[in-house]
Amino acid sequence: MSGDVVANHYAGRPQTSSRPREPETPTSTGARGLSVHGEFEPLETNNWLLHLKYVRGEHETCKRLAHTELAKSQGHNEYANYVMGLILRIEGRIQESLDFFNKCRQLDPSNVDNVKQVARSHFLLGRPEQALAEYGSALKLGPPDWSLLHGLGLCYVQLGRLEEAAEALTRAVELGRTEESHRALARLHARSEPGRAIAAYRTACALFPSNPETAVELGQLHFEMAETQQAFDAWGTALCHDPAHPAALLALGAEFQRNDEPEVALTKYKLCAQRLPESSFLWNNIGMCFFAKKKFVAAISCLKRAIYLAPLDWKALYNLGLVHMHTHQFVSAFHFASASMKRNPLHVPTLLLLALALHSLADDTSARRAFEQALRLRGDSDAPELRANFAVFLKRIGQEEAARAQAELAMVAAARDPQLEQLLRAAFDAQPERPEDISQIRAEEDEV
Amino acid sequence: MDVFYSALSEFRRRKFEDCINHCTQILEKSPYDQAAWTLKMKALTAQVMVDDIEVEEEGIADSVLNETMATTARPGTSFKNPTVLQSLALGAQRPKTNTGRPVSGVVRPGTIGSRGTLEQALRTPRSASSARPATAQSGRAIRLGTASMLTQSEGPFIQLSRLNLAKYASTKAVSKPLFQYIFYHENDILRAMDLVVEAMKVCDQKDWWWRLQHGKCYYIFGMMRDAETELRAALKLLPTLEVFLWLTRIYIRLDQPVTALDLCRTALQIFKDEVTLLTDIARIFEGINNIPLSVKYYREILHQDAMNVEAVACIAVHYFYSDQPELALRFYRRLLQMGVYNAELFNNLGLCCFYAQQYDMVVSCFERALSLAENENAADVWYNISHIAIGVCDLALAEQCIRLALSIDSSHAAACNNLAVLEYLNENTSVSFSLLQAASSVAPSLFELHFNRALLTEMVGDYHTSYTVVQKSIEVHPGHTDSHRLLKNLKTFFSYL
Repeated sequence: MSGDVVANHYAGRPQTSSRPREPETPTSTGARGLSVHGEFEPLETNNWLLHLKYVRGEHETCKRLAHTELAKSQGHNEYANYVMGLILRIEGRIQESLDFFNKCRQLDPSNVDNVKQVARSHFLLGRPEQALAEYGSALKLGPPDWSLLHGLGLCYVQLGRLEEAAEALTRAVELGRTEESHRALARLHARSEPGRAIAAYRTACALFPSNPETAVELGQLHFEMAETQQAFDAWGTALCHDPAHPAALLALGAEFQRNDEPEVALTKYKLCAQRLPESSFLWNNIGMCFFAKKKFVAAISCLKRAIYLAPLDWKALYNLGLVHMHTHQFVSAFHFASASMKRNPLHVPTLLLLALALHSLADDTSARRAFEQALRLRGDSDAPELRANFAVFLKRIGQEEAARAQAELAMVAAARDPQLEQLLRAAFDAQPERPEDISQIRAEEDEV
Repeated sequence: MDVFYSALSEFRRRKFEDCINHCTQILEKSPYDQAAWTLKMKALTAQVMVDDIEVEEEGIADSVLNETMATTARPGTSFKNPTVLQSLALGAQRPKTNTGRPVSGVVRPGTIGSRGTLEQALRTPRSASSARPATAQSGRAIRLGTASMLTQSEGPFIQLSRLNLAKYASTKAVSKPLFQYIFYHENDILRAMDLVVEAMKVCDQKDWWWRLQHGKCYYIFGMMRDAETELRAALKLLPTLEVFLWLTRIYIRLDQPVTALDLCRTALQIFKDEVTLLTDIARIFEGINNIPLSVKYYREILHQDAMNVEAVACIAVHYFYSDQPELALRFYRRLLQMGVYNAELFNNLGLCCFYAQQYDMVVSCFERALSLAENENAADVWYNISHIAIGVCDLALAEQCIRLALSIDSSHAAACNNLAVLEYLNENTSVSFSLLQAASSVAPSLFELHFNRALLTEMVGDYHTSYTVVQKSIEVHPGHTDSHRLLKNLKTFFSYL
């Protein structure tokens, strides 16, 4: 058995030349033709067959055929070299494929395709500078081609020369209406100029409506610009083409969840979980759905799985702290909140949670420091829930004056929200058992 | 007192050294005293005899000789192709050892090495924790041979070559002790086999004991099919537990877990609730990754024998990895009450306490674990402490712990992987990269290493390496969705004209 495996392994290698020829390939007849009849046979005789085999995906046969062709022509068959390069690239053996493309280039230096493939090989090997030089020389050989400019753009992106990249990709988009270039351009613009990015995505979507990935990315961009309706539309389009597209489902679910519809969100997540069982964001969101439905045990186990998958995800840690606060497990709440804070020390709700947990554990000095730190981080901006909690806390430790002042500030910040006012009044009048948990801010994630 | 009487008494009290001396005295006076001769043989055998039913580590060379049935077995019907692990949808996946087996509750022969082809075994780098013997049988034989030579300064007790085997085989009282002496003490399997053949002639092949011994000899020679026939014949003569266990062992060697399971179930009908059989079944299920059934049988073991360490530990591990650390904690506490007192146990207790959020015990458990840890397991303890540090997001402490783990065991691949992630968070990408590269050559069976490396290389634009590495990750863990997505992204670069 072991012998078989080894033999098969070597059979796949192009270097071994002493292999019996395949009887079904017409090469043997070609070779005989040359020797018996003495006729001159063009090198390209079997190129049609090579092409056919390549496009049909019969890579093994194609490689064998290319080998015999190369042996027959002493390596001078350009197309055989080219096809070998392409197949080896698909197999992931870039260095060997580069050798074949280099040979192609020696055989015909004026062919743009050959130079282009050499450049691409350099790009794949992580040498963008060399690729850039090759693309430059390819551009000199003939009229500009979208694929050259696209490759050039990617090299510039890799090198961090974004302006030139944008220029090259824009030209690529003008020359050939291809999805890859549009998407590359859109991704390039996504950070700096979202408007142009959206335009690029829209063209890509219009040209190639069947690719859900583009639609999902478009939706995400819309969402980041707070254009919820357009985002919904884009995700909807993605789901039309792939009803179980995980990223679109996750995004839609998160949106439903944000609008207080945990049931709908859960159905989306359930669909999604089959395709993305190892996504911590998904489990985090599922956990918070259960939390919204007051199913704390389920929420905790989902959130714990999220943390198992991504132990350093501060959002999941914060959420877990929050759920533990609601189940009155203050020590655990404190632990998770403090872990979350170590990852993201500037998140004010975490500090608020920490303060509440500390207060529940009767460590009022530390709680006070946490409140003050939270207020410091907030600066002068209005933070009604923070101030309201602080006010209740101050009241409970017996500092009436300061408490009233904070309560007043909270009222102002919340623009005299009647609900908050009522809550505060109740807290001040009736000596509540516990501080108010107004910290029901859910941390959610969009895309992976 | 009669010398022979005192020798007998010493034999019963397991004072073999004295018993042998007394027998030698008798034999010096009357060299043809068969009783003394037999007693001396028995004493000598008892000194070196081991319980050879307990499964042994399968050696690398032995796996070449295996006459396995199918080269590509269906999932679940072979140890080499176990049931595909359900990914996280059904409980967390168990981590794997350096050699690629999912961790088990107890370390026993067979849990260290991965059952695979010879190529896989050879490709697995040999380190202190993953070394497998080249062959199982010869190792023991050499040890036993030297032991027998040391005890006798004035030459061997019995000159085997001068023995008239046919004569002794016909004497019932002598033949069996003589066989055991040759088999265990002299370890001369060929001659033992000759004796078996002679004895079988005498008893007309109607004695199950001789058939079993014949099977054992065949087993040692690696002739599994012949051993199987002998043992099957022995079962027909008289179904005994020992024969069942040996037959199971042969089917495990032949990589036929399903047949072995059937056999154990048949045996269970005769020997109801026999713990050794239940243990075998549970181990086989664990070997083919059918953890729920394995746990079911371990539970049955606990019904019969509530002090079975292996069963308690395996059930505890099952609970721990299916998100119920509280229950695992109870089982580990039970182990502690039973008197198990070692670093591993305290380490597991600490982990369970942490994940069950009983923070007050965590530190003291790990302190105890560290004080009990020796070189082999200290690295693992530190590695687990680093997990606690990661759990409270104290990354500096986590890094220190991992570095300590690596200083003890530099081939701890999981620690390397985590250190690489921490270094990546500290933006030391190059350090992280070299760590991953080093670790993935040590433990090619951890998909995390490959996946992380693929991610990193993709990030710096080395698509070629990323493409090859992510394929390795998928090969190890075919259900990893993130790897598949990365590969899909990369494929656009590679197949594009």
